[in-house]
Amino acid sequence: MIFTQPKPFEEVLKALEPYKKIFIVGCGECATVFKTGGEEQIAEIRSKLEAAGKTITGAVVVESPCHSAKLKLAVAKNMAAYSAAEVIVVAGCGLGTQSVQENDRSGRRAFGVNNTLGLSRVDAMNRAVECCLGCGDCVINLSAGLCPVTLCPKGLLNGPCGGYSKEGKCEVDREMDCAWVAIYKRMSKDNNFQYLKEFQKAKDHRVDKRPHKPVEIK
Amino acid sequence: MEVKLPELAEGVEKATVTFWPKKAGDAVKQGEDLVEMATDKAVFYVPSPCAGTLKQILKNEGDEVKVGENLAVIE
Repeated sequence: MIFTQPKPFEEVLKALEPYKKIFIVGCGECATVFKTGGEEQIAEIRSKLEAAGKTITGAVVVESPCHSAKLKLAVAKNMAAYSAAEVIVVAGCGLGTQSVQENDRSGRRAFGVNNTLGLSRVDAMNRAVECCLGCGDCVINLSAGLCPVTLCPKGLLNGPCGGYSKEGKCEVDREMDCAWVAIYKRMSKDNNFQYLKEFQKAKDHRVDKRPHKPVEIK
Repeated sequence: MEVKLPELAEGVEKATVTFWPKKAGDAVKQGEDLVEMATDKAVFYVPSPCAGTLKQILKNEGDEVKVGENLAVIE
């Protein structure tokens, strides 16, 4: 999922200073899970904006605002309120905000109320746990299902650095487990150390040339 | 001539009107994009089946339309 956290509201208000009439788009997927763009948050954003003197022409939580078809369906059903706005405020991730702007026929601007922090899974304790950087050259099949590129602050591919503690903590952040200790423990469970026995070349960042070209989904 | 929502992908029986690039009274060419529609999976245009004048829009933006239902009339 795409992990988001709210921007300071003063920052949002400053960006919206020139505009009075606003339509709000929330996200029914990731931002709902992370409580940054679901129904409750939209109501909260709405009341804060109204308290700041803005007029909210309408609001909708779109199933996935980053998906053009789903966004267009929701907008079409709220066309009068949507059309009446000067700008759109998006309570989703950066994808959602850009999707709303790209799909707006009148060229209005879309403003995000959240910061996008990356790809996270939600663990059993309902915490957002970052576990993938989307590097385009995945190694987790070799590294016991844990991503050293993400979990090691140095992104090391060939085992730990010399800085991990006896307790298996990372030298960059002593409260954090060393990714390579965790990977080793996981490998030990089925005695598969294949990855460690082979030297891993430095990642080929050419395959991760950004931005990726649009890819047709077949 | 009545413009109907054509057959869509297998299992897809309806779509929603999302945008009319033309308004009633506008001239249309055969094959020109007449109306933008969306399902929950894709956005597509229904092309005009003939040249003429868009006489009447029968389904508004936001309306759900079943396959075979009339969308517009072209004269």
